[in-house]
Amino acid sequence: MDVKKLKETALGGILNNPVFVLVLGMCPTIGMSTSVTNALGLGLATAFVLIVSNVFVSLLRKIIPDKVRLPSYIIIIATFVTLVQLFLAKFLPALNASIGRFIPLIVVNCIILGRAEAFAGKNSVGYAALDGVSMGLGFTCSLVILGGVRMLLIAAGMRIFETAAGGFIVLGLLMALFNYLMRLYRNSHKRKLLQGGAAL
Amino acid sequence: MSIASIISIVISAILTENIVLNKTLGICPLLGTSKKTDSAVGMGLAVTFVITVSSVVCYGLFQLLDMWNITYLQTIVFILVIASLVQLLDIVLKRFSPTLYNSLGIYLALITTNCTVLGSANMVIDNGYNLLETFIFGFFTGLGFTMVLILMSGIREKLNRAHIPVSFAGFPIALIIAGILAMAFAGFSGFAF
Amino acid sequence: MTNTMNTEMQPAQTHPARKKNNTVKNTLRCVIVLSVIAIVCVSLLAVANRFLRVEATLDGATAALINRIAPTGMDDGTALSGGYIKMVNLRAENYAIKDLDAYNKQHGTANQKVRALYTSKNAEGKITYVVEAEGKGYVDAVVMLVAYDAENKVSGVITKSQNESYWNHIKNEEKLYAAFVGLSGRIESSQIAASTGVTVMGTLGGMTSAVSIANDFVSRLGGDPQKPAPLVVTDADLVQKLKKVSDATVYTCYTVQTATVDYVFTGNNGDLIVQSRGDGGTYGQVALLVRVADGKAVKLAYAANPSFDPTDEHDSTLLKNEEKLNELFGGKTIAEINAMAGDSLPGFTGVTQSSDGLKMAVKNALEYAPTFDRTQFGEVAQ
Repeated sequence: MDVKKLKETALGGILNNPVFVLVLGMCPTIGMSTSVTNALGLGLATAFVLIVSNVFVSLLRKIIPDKVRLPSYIIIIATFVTLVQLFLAKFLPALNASIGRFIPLIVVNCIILGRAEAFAGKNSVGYAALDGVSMGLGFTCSLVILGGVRMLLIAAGMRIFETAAGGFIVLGLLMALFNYLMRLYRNSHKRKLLQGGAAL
Repeated sequence: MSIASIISIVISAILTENIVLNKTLGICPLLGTSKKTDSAVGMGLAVTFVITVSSVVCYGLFQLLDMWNITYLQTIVFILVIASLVQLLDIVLKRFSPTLYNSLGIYLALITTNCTVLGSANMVIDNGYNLLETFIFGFFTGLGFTMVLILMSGIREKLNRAHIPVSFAGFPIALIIAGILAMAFAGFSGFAF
Repeated sequence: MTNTMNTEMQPAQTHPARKKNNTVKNTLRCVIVLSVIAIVCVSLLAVANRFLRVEATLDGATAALINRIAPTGMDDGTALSGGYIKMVNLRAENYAIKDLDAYNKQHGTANQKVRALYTSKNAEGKITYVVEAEGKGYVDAVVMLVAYDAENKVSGVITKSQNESYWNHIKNEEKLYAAFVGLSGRIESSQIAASTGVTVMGTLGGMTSAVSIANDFVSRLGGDPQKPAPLVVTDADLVQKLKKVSDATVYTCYTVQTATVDYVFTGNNGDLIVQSRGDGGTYGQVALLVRVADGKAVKLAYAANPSFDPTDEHDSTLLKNEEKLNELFGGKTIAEINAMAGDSLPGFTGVTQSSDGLKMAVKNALEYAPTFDRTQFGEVAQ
């Protein structure tokens, strides 16, 4: 077991956060973050598809010829998305009514095809699954945070945050905040290194 | 099929229900390719073409799926159609129009995962359009997308000369601009057809 | 997909013949792998679809809304679980419209369609139709529930869902609802706007086009609007009453609604019970449950009748005296009832008019019973 790689993969969801750092999967992020419930529902649906498709892509990576890699990935992903669609329609009709429009679009969520291509197609099943969990949860968390902020603002009477415009602005502000915090973190890290260097 | 309904589709596809600013689709390319007007135009035209063709093809295929009662294959069929179409377009452009390929080619590869394409194919089905309406809807949705991309790129080119706080540089400021544009577009909703 | 593969060749240094062979082999491999993946995925989905297919159902939230516009007189939970509010399966029942999709294709447009038909039944057994329809609002479909009275006029509307954006929301929908009551046929949004002063035309347009198509649907539903498919009797009071005249354990109710007969009940032992009315009661009409066999009134009981006043001395006498009722009419045919001296009745009811009502009710039941035809209610003849 490569501990470093394991740690890197597990922390990928935060350090390479799909929403705030990689800026992937923006459409559902803005479209469906009007409430925590919608955000959580869509986040978990995406995470599920991500994990399962990562596992299958990784399992099949030696069988699938390089040339038909993308169509194969797309078929696998689309299959699981359709399963999620059928499942939601059957068991969670209320949630389906509010996020159903965005479920088929999970297929074209860049995070999933991106991870299949960049990670799962090159790594063993364990890592691929871990990457799926980490990235999926990272995506869900970002969505829920965004949904929470918007919900608070809407509850405070600012109905504009229900609209697409509000979504864009809140995400822009949160992303700026995330950049700011990351910069603070990196600066303090650098300072620590410098201080360590001086002590030597 | 009246002129009024066509006009209503056109206006809503471009302005009132703009695919980017109202339906929140196609935000990745909006952020990715709106730094320069040239690339915005290229991406916009490529997307317009693919949306128009794929909406019509998907509409036709859905009639078959519907007839055979296998509509649960909708997602899988649509995305394969779009991927093949993009691939085909890539080959055709490369062979017959190298100039156009040089200007559009790099954007083509990005279109498969552009959710405006699958999104509008799904919307055509949800809205129950006929063939002509589908064509018009696809084409003008693409134009609406192109328009927003060009508007954004114009603003972002100007922003290059502005002083922006470090944390806001890049995507955050682009998102906020998109938000302000979306507010402006929401103003169109005042019209009723 | 395979086209791309053909255009890209193997490394140049391989022998031409081998190269060709290799390409063919590779292409074949690509095609096979892709086909296998596609076949496995599609069959997986086919199986999943079989188990996860959604039969249209009625959820609690919708039932609660229906209970508001077509009150069952009980709380939402009981109304749904007791089967008072139900979704109608058009294919299985006896309406002119058998298939909702076909109806929508023919009469609906891209902007308006009917989504479901429900029935709401109150404790007296009166059935109200509720249609769920959608109309395109400004942004998205506005889904309305519309209840109808016996003449197919709107008796109540309520919005089930709408996704209109902030600017298009109608803030006080409640005041709009009243404006729809009593209307039928096509409704223009300007008509409602004029009577309510609402100016958000986009959303209002969605509401009016939803109600308009619902009106059209109900008008084409066919048959007697009060003649829905048979329902199993679940109301405990009603079962109790039916048990007075029959030994069956489960009863099915056919809503007949002729001028003199309201319902026919069949028991699971084959009993046939007619609920009929007779004019001439002190308070309008009297209603009876009459078990009919071989043209005879076998056993009788009083049916629930809203026009009875239990506090009234005469009426309460009536309601209590079922033994006497059976004594008078039990086992008699129409001819025998016609031959009955009018004098024998007042002796027990004390009221001449009610007596005539009773006689009429029994006769009506006996007359209707032989004409009762299950096939009219979409059931197979037995």
